[in-house]
Amino acid sequence: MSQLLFATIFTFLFPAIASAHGIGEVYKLPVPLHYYLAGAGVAVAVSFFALGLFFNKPSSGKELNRIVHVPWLSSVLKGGRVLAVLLLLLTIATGAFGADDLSKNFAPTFFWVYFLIGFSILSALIGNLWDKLNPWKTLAYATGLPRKTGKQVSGWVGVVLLLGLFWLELVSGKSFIPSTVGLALLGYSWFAIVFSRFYDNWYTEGELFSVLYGFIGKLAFVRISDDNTSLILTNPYKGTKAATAHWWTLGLASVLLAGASFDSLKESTLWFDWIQALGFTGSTYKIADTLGLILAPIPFYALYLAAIGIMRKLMGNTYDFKTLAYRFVWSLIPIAFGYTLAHNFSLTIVAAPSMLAFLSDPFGFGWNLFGTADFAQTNLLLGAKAVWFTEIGFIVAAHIAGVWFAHVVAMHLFPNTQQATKSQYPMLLLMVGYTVMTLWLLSQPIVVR
Amino acid sequence: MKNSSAIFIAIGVLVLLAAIFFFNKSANPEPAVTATPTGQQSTTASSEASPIPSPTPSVAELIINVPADLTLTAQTLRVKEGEKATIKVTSQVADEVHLHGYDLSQAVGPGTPAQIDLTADKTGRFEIELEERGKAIGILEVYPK
Repeated sequence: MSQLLFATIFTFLFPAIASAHGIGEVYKLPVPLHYYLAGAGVAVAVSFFALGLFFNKPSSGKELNRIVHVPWLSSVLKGGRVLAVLLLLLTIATGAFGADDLSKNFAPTFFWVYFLIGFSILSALIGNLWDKLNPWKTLAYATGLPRKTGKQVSGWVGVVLLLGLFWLELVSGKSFIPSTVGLALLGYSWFAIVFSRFYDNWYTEGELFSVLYGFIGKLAFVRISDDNTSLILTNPYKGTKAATAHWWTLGLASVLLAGASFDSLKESTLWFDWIQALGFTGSTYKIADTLGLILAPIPFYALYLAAIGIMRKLMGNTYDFKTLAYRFVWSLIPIAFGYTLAHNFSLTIVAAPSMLAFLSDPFGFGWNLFGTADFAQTNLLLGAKAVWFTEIGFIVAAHIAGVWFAHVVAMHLFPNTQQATKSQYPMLLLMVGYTVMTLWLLSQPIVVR
Repeated sequence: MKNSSAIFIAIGVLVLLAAIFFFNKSANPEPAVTATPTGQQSTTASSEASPIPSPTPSVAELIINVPADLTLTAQTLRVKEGEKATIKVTSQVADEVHLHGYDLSQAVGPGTPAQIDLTADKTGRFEIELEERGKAIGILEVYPK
């Protein structure tokens, strides 16, 4: 009875909508078996190459460390901050007041495709760009500098917020409704500004996008200096060595890995069969999906810890568990980032014409500010093969980057190459496991709900 | 150490060669046409075998019957790039049949069946939808040659 009540409330709160479609839809076919096998094979081959090459490599090579003075950088960043605030206001305004139709409104495509994916890519290139442009930070500082409170927010807040974002995107079924995007952003803006008054570390370890882009930014070879006048070129490894990892950093990595994977799992006939076998029906699918999304990070978290445990045993317990777990967590960033791109990159291409159209008519009121309003009619389709190669390519590239990163970490932790290589057996196994699982999910038949 | 190094690289080369072999294998092992009928909602035309052999036997057909309560399981029609396909829809409710990607639409309703003929020149997975109700009634999957 209570289950029924719960289901009813749930359905009332989140009514099913007409499936989002039309704009920027990538008509994805499941990856054929032999592509999946080939992708997995490349990942395994690369892992063996890595092992072979590690044996010969005496040291981790030269450390990159250069500072390039860019006099005009701070003006560009000032302009960027103003632009970021304007784009935030535009997204909220178009979402809240524009035509409530995905194909006519600027907000959903901009937020989900170009802001989320675009800024992930930018952050991987310039590590702390978001920190420099964060519109909520700009607004918070514009309304008076926050005083030190001495209080620190837990990094788990960012992890929970990220789960919330994935829930909105993948489970709510309302993610591509402009008013949802507008109102969610408006509500979040309040949250993202007000909390900076309570916690000193809000814009590094609390605010969702600071946490997310800060994490991906650890990959970058370039950072902006504190005084905004130079670019610092440095090995990503140095940045991660200086940064403190936490259990929540690992939580964040797991949620990121799981988010992309759950996206394909929940569309598969496999997931559909499971939840039907568990007794979920049409009106309660969202409950099943919610549970699935919450549980999905657990295998990633557990497998990683298992690999670290094996590595510790293998290396004769020279390091304690926590040190190893914290130090190698950064090798999961390229994987998490690669999976995100694998799932979403083709969307950024397919959605491009409609984005140009939205710039001319952001509210869907029939404007044509820049003469590009008709571009939405352009039907840009990526062929199935192009999509497959994008997906597999990013996953395999992520695998390579992850293996390389873990290798660099190992070279610094262990006394000689022989030891470092030995430590990488469990890590390689873990990464091959992640890669094969992700490819396998992409090859699953897709269900129609 | 040099030995293990060589062994690892040799294994890597072998696996990579195997992978390349898989990539180069015939692009698509899928059967050309697999419209999967399950009784009440949908049947393929091939089951309505006509005595005269059709001059264009490679037209894949998907027949969808939409009941008034919209309870139907969406069927998938799988074709290869370049093949011809026909989607026939009868419906107890008035709506518009829309094939995504190809952007082909046709009105449908009680007494007005819809028929969409197409050459499958775009690869991908395309939803066939009752546009106004936002209800997916079928899928067209076009695999590369």
